[in-house]
Amino acid sequence: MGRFLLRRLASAAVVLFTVSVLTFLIFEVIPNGNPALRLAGRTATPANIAAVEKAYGFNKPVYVQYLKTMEEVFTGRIVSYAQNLNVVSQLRQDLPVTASLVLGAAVVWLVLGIVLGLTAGLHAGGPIDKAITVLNFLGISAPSFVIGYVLIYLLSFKLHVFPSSGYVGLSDPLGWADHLVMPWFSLAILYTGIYSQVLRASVVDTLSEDHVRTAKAKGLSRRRVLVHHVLRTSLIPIVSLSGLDIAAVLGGSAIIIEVVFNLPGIGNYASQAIGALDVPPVLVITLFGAFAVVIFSTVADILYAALDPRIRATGSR
Amino acid sequence: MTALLEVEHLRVSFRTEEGVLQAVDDVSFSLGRGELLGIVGESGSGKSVTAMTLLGLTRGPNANISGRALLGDLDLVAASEHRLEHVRGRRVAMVFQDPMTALNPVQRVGDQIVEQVRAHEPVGRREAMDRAVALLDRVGIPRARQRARSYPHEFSGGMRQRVMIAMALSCSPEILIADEPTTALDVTTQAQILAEIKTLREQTGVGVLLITHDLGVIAEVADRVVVMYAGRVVEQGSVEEIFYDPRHPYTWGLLGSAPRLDKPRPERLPTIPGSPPSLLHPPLGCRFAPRCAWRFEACSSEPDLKSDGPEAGDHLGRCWLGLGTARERRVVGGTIGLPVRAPAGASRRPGDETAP
Amino acid sequence: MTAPAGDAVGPLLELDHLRMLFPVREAGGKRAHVHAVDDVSVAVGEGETLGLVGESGCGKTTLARCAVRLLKPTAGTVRFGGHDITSLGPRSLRPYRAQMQIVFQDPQGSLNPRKRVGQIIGAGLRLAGGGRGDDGRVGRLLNQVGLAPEHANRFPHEFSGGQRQRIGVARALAVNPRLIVLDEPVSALDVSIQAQVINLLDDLQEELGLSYIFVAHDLSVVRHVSDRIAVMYLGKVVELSPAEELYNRPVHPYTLSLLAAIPVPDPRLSRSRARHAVRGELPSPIDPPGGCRYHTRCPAATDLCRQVEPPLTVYPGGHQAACHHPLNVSSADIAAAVRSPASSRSAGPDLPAAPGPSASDLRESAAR
Repeated sequence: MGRFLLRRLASAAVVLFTVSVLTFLIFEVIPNGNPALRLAGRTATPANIAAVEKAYGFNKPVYVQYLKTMEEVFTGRIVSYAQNLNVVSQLRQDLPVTASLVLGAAVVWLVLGIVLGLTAGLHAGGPIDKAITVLNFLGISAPSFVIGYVLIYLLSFKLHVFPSSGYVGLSDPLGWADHLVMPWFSLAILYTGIYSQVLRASVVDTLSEDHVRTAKAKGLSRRRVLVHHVLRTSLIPIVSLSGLDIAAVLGGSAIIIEVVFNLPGIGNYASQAIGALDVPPVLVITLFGAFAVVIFSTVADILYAALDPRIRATGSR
Repeated sequence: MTALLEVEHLRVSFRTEEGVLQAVDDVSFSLGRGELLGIVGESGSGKSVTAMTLLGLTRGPNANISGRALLGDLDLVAASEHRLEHVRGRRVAMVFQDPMTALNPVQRVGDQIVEQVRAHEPVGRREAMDRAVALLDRVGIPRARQRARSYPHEFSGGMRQRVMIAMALSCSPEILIADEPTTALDVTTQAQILAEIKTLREQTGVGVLLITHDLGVIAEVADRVVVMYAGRVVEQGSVEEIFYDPRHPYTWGLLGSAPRLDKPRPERLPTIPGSPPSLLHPPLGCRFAPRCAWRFEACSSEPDLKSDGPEAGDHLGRCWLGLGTARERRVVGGTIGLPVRAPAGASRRPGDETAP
Repeated sequence: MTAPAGDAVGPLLELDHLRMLFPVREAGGKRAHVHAVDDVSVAVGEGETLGLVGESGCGKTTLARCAVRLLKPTAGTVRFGGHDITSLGPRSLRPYRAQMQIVFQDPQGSLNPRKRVGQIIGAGLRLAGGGRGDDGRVGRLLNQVGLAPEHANRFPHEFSGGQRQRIGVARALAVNPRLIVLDEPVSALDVSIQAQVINLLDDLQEELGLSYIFVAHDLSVVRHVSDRIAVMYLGKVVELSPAEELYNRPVHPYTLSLLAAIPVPDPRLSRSRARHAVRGELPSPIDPPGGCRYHTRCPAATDLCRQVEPPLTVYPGGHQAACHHPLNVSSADIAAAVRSPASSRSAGPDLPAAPGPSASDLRESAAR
C-alpha cells in the first residue's frame, strides 16, 4: 500500500506541474493578453506601460515569470491582475459554495441513480426497465443549463416554490437548502442518468453470476441476496466512478450551474476571470481542479481495492 | 427404506426466442436415506436442470415446471418461495460445478458459511464461526481458523470445492445435491473430493444426488444410477445393473466410449455417431433412434420406461428391444458398446460420424 | 500408426532447455516469478505425436505455446525444421507461422462469433497468399473434417461443441501446417464426442503426415493418439516414454498416482482397487520445492529426494524418468541407464543406484 501511494504522489506531482505550465503558457500566447496594458489603465502612455511591466516583471523571460508566479501561488500571496485581490483568500470564500453544490448534488445523483438502476436491473427487459432507460437517456441528453433555466422558470417564476438565485450560508440551514435544491437537481440529472444505466448493467451481470445462484441455494432470504450479494458486488464500479466524477465537477463542471443560479462559487469566479483574461485566478483554479482530480481518483482506487479483495491481491480481477 | 426424495413426472420447459425448449421431460426417480444416486448424461440431457429445479432455482417468468418432487410430504415443485427458503441450505443443500465462480469472491470464506448457518438457525456470530471452522477442518482444510478469514481466490480449486462442501453441510441437510462437483478439477484432486464425499456419506447418512457425465465417477461412488438423454430418463437401476447388464443402446454407447486404461488400446476409438438432438424440436418417437445402430420400425414411437419383468425389479429401460435381443447385441468386440458403423478411414464423411 | 521419433530425419521441432518465467507481484510487494516451464527439452519428429500431460500449473500449455512461438521463451531455444526461431521478431516469424498451427481448448471462445465459418477458415488462406478463388478449398477442408461445404455459410453458434472443434481443426489445416499443437482440444466435449474428434485427428495425421503436440490433463485422452508421452509436474518433465509403455510400466511415482487417480468405469474393479489419493496440495509454482519437486507429496520420498533434483535418466527402450527411486525398473535397467541430454542443468550428477519400491509397496505406504 505504501508503495502504491508513493507512486501515486509522484505521478500527481508530474500532473500538477504539467497542468501549471500549460495553463501559464496558454495565457502567454493569447493575443491582447498583455496584462500590463490593462493594469496601466486606459489612458496609459507607453512609458507608463513600460513602468508597469518592469514593476510586475512582465519584461522578464517566460520561465522566470512562471517561477515567480508559482512561488506566489504556493505562498498564498498571488494577487489577481484585475481586482488586485488575493486569489487564494477569494478561493477560500468561494469553496464552501461550490462544495455545497457539488456534494449535495452527488448525494442526489447517487441515491436516485442507485434506486433507479437497481429497479431497472431487477426488472430487466420489462416495461419498468424500458421506462427507466428512456428517463436516463433524457437526463443524459438534456444540457444542464437548459434544465436549470426551465426549473427556474417553473418553480421560481411561476410557482414561487424556490428562490431563483443566490446563495445563503450554512448558518441558515433552511435558507441554504432552499437556494440549493434547484441547482442540485440541475447538476445531478445528467449523472443520475449515467449512474442508473451503469448500475443497471452491473446488476444484470451480477444477477446471472454463479455466486448469486449459490446464495439463493443457501436459503438466504431474497432481501439478503439482493442487498448483500447482488448490490454489494454491483456497486463497486459505481464507487470508483463517483470519485472521479465528483472531482471533475468540483474542478470545473459546476461552472455552468453556478452561473445559471448565480452562486458565488469557484466556477463563477473562474468564469469571470476567464472573461477578463485574468491569469492568476484561472491558473490557481485550474491547479485546484487538477489537484482535486488526482486526490479523488487516488481515493477511488483505494476504495475499489478495499471493496474488492481480488484487486488487492493481483491488481486485476 | 422410506425414500427421502420422490420425484414424479417432472417436466421443465423454457420459453425462448426460438420456441419452447423442453429441458426435462417426464423424469421420475427416488433417493433413499444414505444412498448415493448418480444422474449421468451428456450436454443437453437435462440432468443439471433437474437438479436445480429441485431447489426452485429454475423458476422464472419463462419457465414452465410441472410434476412433483416430494421431500417427505412437502412438494418442492409447488412450494412457495418462502417455504423453499427454509428448505434450501437446510434440508437440501447444493454443491456446484465451478467453485471459483460459485463462491462470493468478495466475501471471506468463513463469513459465507456463517451467513448460511445464521439464516437457518438462531445462533450467535461467534458460535456460528466456531461451527464454520470445525466444518472447514472436517473437510480437510489445514489451519482452518486462519483460513476462514481468506477469500476464495486465495485457495486452490480443490480447496475451494472443499469449502463448498463444508458450506453445504453446515446445517446438516438430509440431501446433498452435487452438480458436476469434480468436473473442473484435476484428476488427483477429483479423487480426493470423491473420497471426501464418500466419507461424509458414511459418517452422516446424508442422501447424495450426484450429477456427472463421467462414468468412472459413477462407478466409484454410486449405489444407483439414472441415465438421461435429451431430457428423458432412458435407463435406471443399481450401479451393477447399469454397468454389467445395461439395457439401453445409449448406455451401451456411453460405456463403450468411456476410456478404459485397464484394457488394451482399441484400433479405433468407439464413439456414438452424430450428436444430441435439439431440445427445441425433439425427434418424434425414440429420441435416441437417429443415432442408434439397432433402430427398427417400432422406434418411430416413443417407448415407455419400464422394467423387463418381476425379477428385473427396479431396473427400468426405455427401449423396444426385448431383453434377450438387447443382451446379444450390446457386445461389440468383446465389450459392451455400440458398433462403429463405418470402416476405418471412411468415417470422416458426413453422415457417418456426424449424423443428421 | 506413425513414423518413429525423428532421429533419422532430424526432428521437426526441438525445444532445448526451455525456460518460461512470468513475473508476478507478491502480496508483500516483492518481485517473484512463476516458474511455468523450468528447463524442459523435448523433440517432435515428422509425423509423430507427442502427448503432453500434467495437471493445472504444470506448464504444459505454456510449453505448447512456446513451441509455436505464441510466447517468447525466457531462456533456451526453439528450433523448427532445423532453424532457430527462439528470438525471431514477428516479421521474421511469419514464414514459420503457417507451418505450425494451434487448436485451442474452448470451441466456443476460439471462434469469432461474428464471422461465418467459411470466413474463419478462409482467413488463414488469405493471409498465406491463397487468393480469393479458394471457396473450393474451404469446401474441401470442411469435408476433410467431416462437415459439409454448405456449413461455410453458418455462424459458430449454430454448431455443437464437437462440430466447432472440427471447424477449429479445419482452420488449422487451411494453411498446410507441418505441426499442429492441440491444447486440450477435447476437454470441453462430451466423452462420446471426444472420441469422434480424436478419431478425426488420427485419420488426418495418417493422410497428411502431420506432427502433433497433444496437450491434455488426462492420461486416458492422450493414449490413443500419442507415440510418446511426456508427463509434466511443476514446470519439469518427470517422465517421457513410448505411449503404451507409460500405462503398463510407469516409472515415476507421480505418473503412477495420476494413473491410479483416474476412475475406472467398472464398479467392482474400482471398489476393489487399493485406492490411494495423492496426498497434499500442489506446491506454489512461484516457490517450488527444492530437490525433487514432487517430494512433498511422494510416499517414497527420502532425504536424497528432498535435497537433490533427480536427473532425467534414460532406461533401455527409450523410457526416461527423473526419479531417484524409479518404479518398475530392473537392476539390469539401472545398470544400463544413461543420463539424458534433456536433463535439467540443475539436476544432481548421480543416476539412481538401485530400483525403487514396487508399485504395490508404494500404494500401501501411501494408504497408510
